Amino acid sequence: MTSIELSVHDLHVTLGKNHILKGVSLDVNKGEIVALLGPSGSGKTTLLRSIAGLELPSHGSIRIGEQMVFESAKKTEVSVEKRCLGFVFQSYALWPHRTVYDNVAYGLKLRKVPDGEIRPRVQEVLANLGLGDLSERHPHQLSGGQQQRVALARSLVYNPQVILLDEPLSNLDAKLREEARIWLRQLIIDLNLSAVCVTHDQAEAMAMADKVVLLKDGVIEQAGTPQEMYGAPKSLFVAEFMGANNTISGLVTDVDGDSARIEGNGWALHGRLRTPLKAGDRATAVVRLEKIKLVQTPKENSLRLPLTASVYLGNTWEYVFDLAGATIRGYGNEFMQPGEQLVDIPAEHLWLF
Amino acid sequence: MNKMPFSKIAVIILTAIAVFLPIGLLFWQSFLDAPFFQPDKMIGLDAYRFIFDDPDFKRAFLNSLYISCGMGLIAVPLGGLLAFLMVRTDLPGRRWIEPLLLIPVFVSPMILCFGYTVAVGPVGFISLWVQNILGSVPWNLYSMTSIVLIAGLSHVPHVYLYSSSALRSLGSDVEEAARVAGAGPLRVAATVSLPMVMPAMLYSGVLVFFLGFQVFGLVLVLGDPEGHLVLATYLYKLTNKLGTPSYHLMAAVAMCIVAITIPMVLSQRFLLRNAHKYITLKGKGARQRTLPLGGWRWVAAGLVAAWLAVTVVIPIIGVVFRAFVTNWGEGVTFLEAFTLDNFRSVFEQGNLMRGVINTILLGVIGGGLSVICFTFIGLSSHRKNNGWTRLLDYTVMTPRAIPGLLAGLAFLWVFLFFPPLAPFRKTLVSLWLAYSVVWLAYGMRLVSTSLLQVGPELEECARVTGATPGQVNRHVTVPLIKYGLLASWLMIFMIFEREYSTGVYLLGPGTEVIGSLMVSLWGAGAIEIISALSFINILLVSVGMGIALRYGVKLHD
Repeated sequence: MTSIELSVHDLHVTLGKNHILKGVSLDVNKGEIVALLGPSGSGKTTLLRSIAGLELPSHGSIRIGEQMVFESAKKTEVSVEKRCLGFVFQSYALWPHRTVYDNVAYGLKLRKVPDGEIRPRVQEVLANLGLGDLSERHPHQLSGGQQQRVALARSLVYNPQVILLDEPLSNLDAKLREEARIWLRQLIIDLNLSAVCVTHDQAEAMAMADKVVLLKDGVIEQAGTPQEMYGAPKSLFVAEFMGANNTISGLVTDVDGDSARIEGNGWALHGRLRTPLKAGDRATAVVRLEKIKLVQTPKENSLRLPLTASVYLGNTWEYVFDLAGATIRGYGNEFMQPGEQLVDIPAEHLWLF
Repeated sequence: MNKMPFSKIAVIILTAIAVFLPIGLLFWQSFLDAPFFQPDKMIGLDAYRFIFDDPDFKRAFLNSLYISCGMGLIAVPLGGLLAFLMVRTDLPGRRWIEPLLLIPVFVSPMILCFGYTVAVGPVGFISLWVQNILGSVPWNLYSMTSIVLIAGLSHVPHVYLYSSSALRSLGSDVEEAARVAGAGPLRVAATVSLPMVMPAMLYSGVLVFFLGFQVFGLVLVLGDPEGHLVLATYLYKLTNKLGTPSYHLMAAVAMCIVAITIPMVLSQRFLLRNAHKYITLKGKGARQRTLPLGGWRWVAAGLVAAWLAVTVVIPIIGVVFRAFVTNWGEGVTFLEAFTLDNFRSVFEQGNLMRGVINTILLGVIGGGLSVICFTFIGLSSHRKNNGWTRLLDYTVMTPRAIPGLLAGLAFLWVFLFFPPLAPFRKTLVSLWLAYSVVWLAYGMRLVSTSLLQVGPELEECARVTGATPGQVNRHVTVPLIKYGLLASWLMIFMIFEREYSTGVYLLGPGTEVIGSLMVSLWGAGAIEIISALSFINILLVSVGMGIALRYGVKLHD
């Protein structure tokens, strides 16, 4: 018995003339939540839809549990309705002509569950999701959050082992979304499901998932735990996608192991190589906003920079510095008058690409 | 996603047979020198040689061309202007003008032209009234000029429908920008709004042009007194002219008409594909503000009222009036002449009464069945794009190029000589099939508009939940478009009530409908009966329109 619940191998998908997925491989373990992250057009929704069987890949294989549902070499293709997956659509796709009860019960009726068994099972899943007294309503009589939970109830009621979620939270307002992602993660863990969730919001991906897969132009750019993705990006693209950064370009002057020195117009800093570079290369230095600190005494990697603005953000102040025409931003706790400040950029957090 | 199931392919093949078999029969017949069922026929170009040598054919062709061009020149500018006035300006009374505009679309041209002869013909009641004042009648209803004018004016709504829906999908911000930049309302219409809906105008221009080649009832009624022929009436009169049914000649004329209309229909498809280049220019959303016309308001209203008076009010009043009098001429007063005898004779004559009942049956039950068939056809290509659906596209488009008269003729032959179908020839089944094929494009547009409104994820979600494609159709798609289908039924009902030419060759005991009865009675000159039948027909269409207005069914998109 393998603990891999869903396995995608070297998947290629072409829609019309566009080569959308160019060889994607992915394993989802039992009970694991995987977030598919990427900019629009990166192929994340296509990957999800291919797993469900809604798109036909041109090459590769997909296995769900023990069953090969798609294998280009053997021309295997299990049709959508036989894959027994849960799928939550971005728009929820609740059937407007059916009540909440009928929406949820539909999957059981299709599976020829005896009538006497359907009602208790639907009521149970509705009660679990806090929808117990809404069963006779129609979808248009529900709020956005309730609709989302009905969509979830509908995809969970027939106990699929894998649930696919396509931007499940994007139609909720910002506050509700932050609560919902914690709730949704807990629900999936409690039910011991394997989940694949598409999102374009890196904070949501990190909050919900055990593993984040970042796609770019149809290939996986990097995959790993949220900590790896945020703290150890393998490329400039990943670094920029996962968080808020300062980026400065300069010339590498000195390389020593994984440390290097980068110089620009009137400044020089030490940093860590994230890609192989040699002296004389042009490079981009990246540092997360929260790693920038104001200091009183000069350190190994500090610069004296003019502060051009202090911006109040409510929970924090954002400082804006000028570095040879580029903008450097950092956070602090209090208002600062414009003027020269000593800014520390720790070398271990300055990534060179 | 998955392969085309056999059932869908079967639906597409059946549709293609229903459309192309009759046309194929016409085509084949046109190259024979005798009816195709006779054993001693020969393949050749005799039929074409005969009609091309016939001076009447030449005159009919030139008249058809003249009518088509005239219709285009009249209907396109007026239809565009009307659309602009109705959609974009504060023209008074827009709400009640809207349904009136569509009367020429839903009332048969036979009836309208009949109304013209009664109202403004040489002894029409308006003509007599004018004669009393001026001493003579300053127009001749039966001249080619009048025919072209009436054909043009009665096709204004066709252009209006396409231009107005294009204008509606255009944000009014582009117009406001022009106003702010200093352009007056007319200038805005001429330099901004209309150029942006040019593709739609061009499309409807082509439509009007090929409808011009299909004109039949209008010239049958108005062209008769002075002997003006067009291609369709030439075809219709061939039988009388030669004294024997000359199938090969009729087929050759039919092929000549189709040779002109099919390229037009194909070019429309090409235009439609190019039309999208302007759609990307449309302003933000559907926010639309009406343009104040100021002093022009009443000028515009007067113009629209004049058009409505000429195109709708005069002929309709003429028909209704004639239906209730015994005779009409100089010195007769309405009260003296008032009678219900015309209706009495309709109810007393078996074939006329059957015609009324058949018309209702064909509209209500036949219309319903047609919508069911259209739904199956629509579902067979729903969310699919492959060779089969392209075949279906062309199949659905083709009947638009076939005038009802020709389709009726072709179906008569199919039912006469295809043995398994022969028993149905003298039943409404033959008419129903011909009607459904003639209005296939129209009906499919209604049904697919509804189908396109179903979000794809609603169907995909059902698939993921475990439904087979068939179950998705039954449980999700069809229930969701229920109201759209009911509305389509109503529209098809009205169109079937209106139809007159398709039944002409299929007319026989048991297959009488009001439309074809009127055509055959016109030959016999039974004016009173025709008026009474027209009145009943107008009533039936009005019932449909009343239901549509009452339940907010959109009469066009």
